[in-house]
Amino acid sequence: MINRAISGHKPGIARVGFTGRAWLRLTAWACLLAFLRAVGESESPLTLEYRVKGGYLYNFAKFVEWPAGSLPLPDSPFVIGVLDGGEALPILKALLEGKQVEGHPVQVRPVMPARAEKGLQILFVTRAAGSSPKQAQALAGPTGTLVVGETDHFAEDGGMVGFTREEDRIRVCLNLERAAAAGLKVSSKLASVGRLVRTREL
Amino acid sequence: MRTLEPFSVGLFRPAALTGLIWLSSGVWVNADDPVTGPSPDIGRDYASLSLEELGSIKVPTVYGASKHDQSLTEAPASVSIVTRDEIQKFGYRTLAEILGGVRGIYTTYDRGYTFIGLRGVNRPGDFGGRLLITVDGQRINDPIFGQNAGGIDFVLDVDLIEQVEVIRGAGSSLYGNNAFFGVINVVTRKGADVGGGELSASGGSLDTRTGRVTYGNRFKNGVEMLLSGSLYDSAGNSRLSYPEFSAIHEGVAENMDGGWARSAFASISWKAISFEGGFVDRRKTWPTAPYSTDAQTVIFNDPRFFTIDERAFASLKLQATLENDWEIAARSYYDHYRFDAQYPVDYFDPLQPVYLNRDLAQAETVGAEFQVSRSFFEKHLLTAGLEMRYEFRLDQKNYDVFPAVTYLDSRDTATIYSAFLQDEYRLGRQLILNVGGRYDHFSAYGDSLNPRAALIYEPTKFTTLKLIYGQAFREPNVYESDYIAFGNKSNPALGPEKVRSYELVYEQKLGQRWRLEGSLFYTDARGLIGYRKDPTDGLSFFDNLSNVTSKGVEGELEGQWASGLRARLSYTFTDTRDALTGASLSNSPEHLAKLALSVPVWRDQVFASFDLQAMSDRQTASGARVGAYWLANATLFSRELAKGLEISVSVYNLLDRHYSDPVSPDFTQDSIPQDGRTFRVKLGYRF
Repeated sequence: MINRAISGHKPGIARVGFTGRAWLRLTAWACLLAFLRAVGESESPLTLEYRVKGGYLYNFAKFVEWPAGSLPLPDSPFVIGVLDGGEALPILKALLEGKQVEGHPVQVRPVMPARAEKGLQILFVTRAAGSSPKQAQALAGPTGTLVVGETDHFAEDGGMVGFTREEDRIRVCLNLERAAAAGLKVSSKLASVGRLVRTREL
Repeated sequence: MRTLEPFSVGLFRPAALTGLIWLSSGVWVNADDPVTGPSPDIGRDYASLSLEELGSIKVPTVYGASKHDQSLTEAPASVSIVTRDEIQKFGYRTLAEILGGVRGIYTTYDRGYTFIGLRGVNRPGDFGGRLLITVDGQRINDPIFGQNAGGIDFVLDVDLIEQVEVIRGAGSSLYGNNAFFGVINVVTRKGADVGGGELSASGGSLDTRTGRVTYGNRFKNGVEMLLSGSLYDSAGNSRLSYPEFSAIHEGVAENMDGGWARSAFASISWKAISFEGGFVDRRKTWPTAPYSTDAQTVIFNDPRFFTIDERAFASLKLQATLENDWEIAARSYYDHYRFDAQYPVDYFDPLQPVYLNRDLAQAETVGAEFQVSRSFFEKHLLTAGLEMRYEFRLDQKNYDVFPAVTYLDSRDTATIYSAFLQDEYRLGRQLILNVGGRYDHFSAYGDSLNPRAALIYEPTKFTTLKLIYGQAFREPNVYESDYIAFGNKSNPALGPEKVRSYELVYEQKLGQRWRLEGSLFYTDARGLIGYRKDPTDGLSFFDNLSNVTSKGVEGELEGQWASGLRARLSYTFTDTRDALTGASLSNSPEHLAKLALSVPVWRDQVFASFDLQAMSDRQTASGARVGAYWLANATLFSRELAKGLEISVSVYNLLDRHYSDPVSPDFTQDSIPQDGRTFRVKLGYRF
């Protein structure tokens, strides 16, 4: 009942390279070795989205100027606070801790929604945390902290930096007025890649 | 007939077309410097990337499940995504091959077309109109046959695919007709993804060759464009044996398996406006000689048996976010489909042994849709839409060339008005309720209302539960309602098919590397259209033959490591039965198992990938069975070994397994044997 094609190949072509089991065995061994090697060197997996956002946060550290005295000692840590539902913190910690910003070691620490957290250079509020820009600002205090969020219109609603999506890419919206009000100076380099927005009237 | 003229195109015109596109692209190239960026990969240190590099990395979301971008866990359906990275690493050549690696999907090939089935339903004899395929939201199933053309006749070269989204379950609440068991949305690469020019060529078994020229970029003035042209040519199997025809040429179809295709694709966007157009034209000789009836025999091993399928679409879209947060999208489109076939026929006329019969169909459609969405009170995301579709030409013609006799000359039109509404309601941090519905009015069959409701619960950051209910329908296509040639008659009582689907999905992240997904599903389809013969006059016709229930369970385990190693194992059990007789359905495998493994061999530049696909035995249209089988494919893929160079070497059906697919009752054969081991070498160059 089950028919079979008499010839699946043109004469000559079928002969190329596929004779015997030796070839198969060799491939299987090569792949097994490669598999073991790959498993052996595996590192902690990070979800792409927060890795990209973490990359941005590190760039913000380089392209934003904090008020004098925010980092009093040469080795004062550069602190990034994360207000999240638990999903972003481990990824950002793995990505950024151990890095340095002008000699200051980067520290990533969790922030609790109900407790004010002074002395942060950056506060990152995730979507899952659900805090509004106003609530986030209240946690961080009026000056000295760059407040970054990822809910819709975070920067327009009074945050300083909002992550948005454009065609599957992560982009940033910058509210320079709000940053300036907190004593932060955003470099023209960062301003040139972000979309500039103003606080909208509610 | 104005455009239903006989086949008269050559293979070399597309080269000129591609050249034209290429030359005209030069104007854009010189206009501004392109802005390009790196492609993402798993092992890199994202903290070391520049702002521009970070801004160019794609972070996947699924669009098709709710008609807006959302994360996979929040989509109101069981969703699978295949990315460009996997397409390259596994050496997939067609959309059907991409989907063949996705859990629950299986394809069958009758040496004319490839049909895509999902979860136990892929009925021999229809054209797969129960799965809707869209390209960037543009419907690809044609209005004549409703065919989900995913083989060489697919409108897009697979190299231009950014990702394929498979959205399981009844999807008519957003998509209307054909979204019966699921929706497959293909997302294309954009200009910036290409970031320059690409040339690609491949050669392989069965004298198969392909070529592609692509240019894409995003310029500083904000214009983003992609232009591409592709050619495919294959001699096919030189000898195929069909014992059913042993009286003719010893049952061997000689040099009857060849075909060619050419396709072109363009997308251009500037600020809120985007244009997209695609074209494919494919010709295939058929070695199988189907469509014989009591009154005529289609002649075996006659190279004049061919089919041509031509598809084209163009769409213009405007997308903007208004001051008050309303997001609006308006799209208008044109869609074209032409089918042209020739059958050499013996009517048992002693004076003329061979008649050439021509079978033609053409559909022209215009449509417009308008969609708005806005979030309210930070908890509701409302999406609403209106759609109008006017199929202003639905022609079918069948005639003998000489002496000229016309058997069918049917002209039809259809109008469809639709409206849909969906609300994604965040009931809390952990709970989302997604409810929606769509109303369609068809000029031929009246109204259809199809709701969907999904409850998505994320008790922890590692676990997601989804409970989904959906309804869908499929209108009879004009082939089913109007085709009266070749021993067929029409059936005025034919009506739409309907389905209710229920699904429980469980997604679990296991530790840091593994993801588990399980699903229980039940579908209850009513009035499925089938093909049957009237014993009183010997004529066949389409009828709402059966109610079919399908229940099953599906599981998938996926692991991903930072080194680039990926592994995915899936299993689907489906029990699909005729609700009335309890008989199991034809071409419906109970068990489907798939394994995909991609291993980095050297740095992140050379990868070895295997996929294994296994299927239990299936019943044929006559009630016989084709045996279970498993297949292995392997691909060695390298990128950037030299600057801009990509090389891939693939072996398909590595162990040369012999297996057959059940085919339509139109065939004399009950099942058609598939290709043995074949290989392909492919070179790509980016500049």
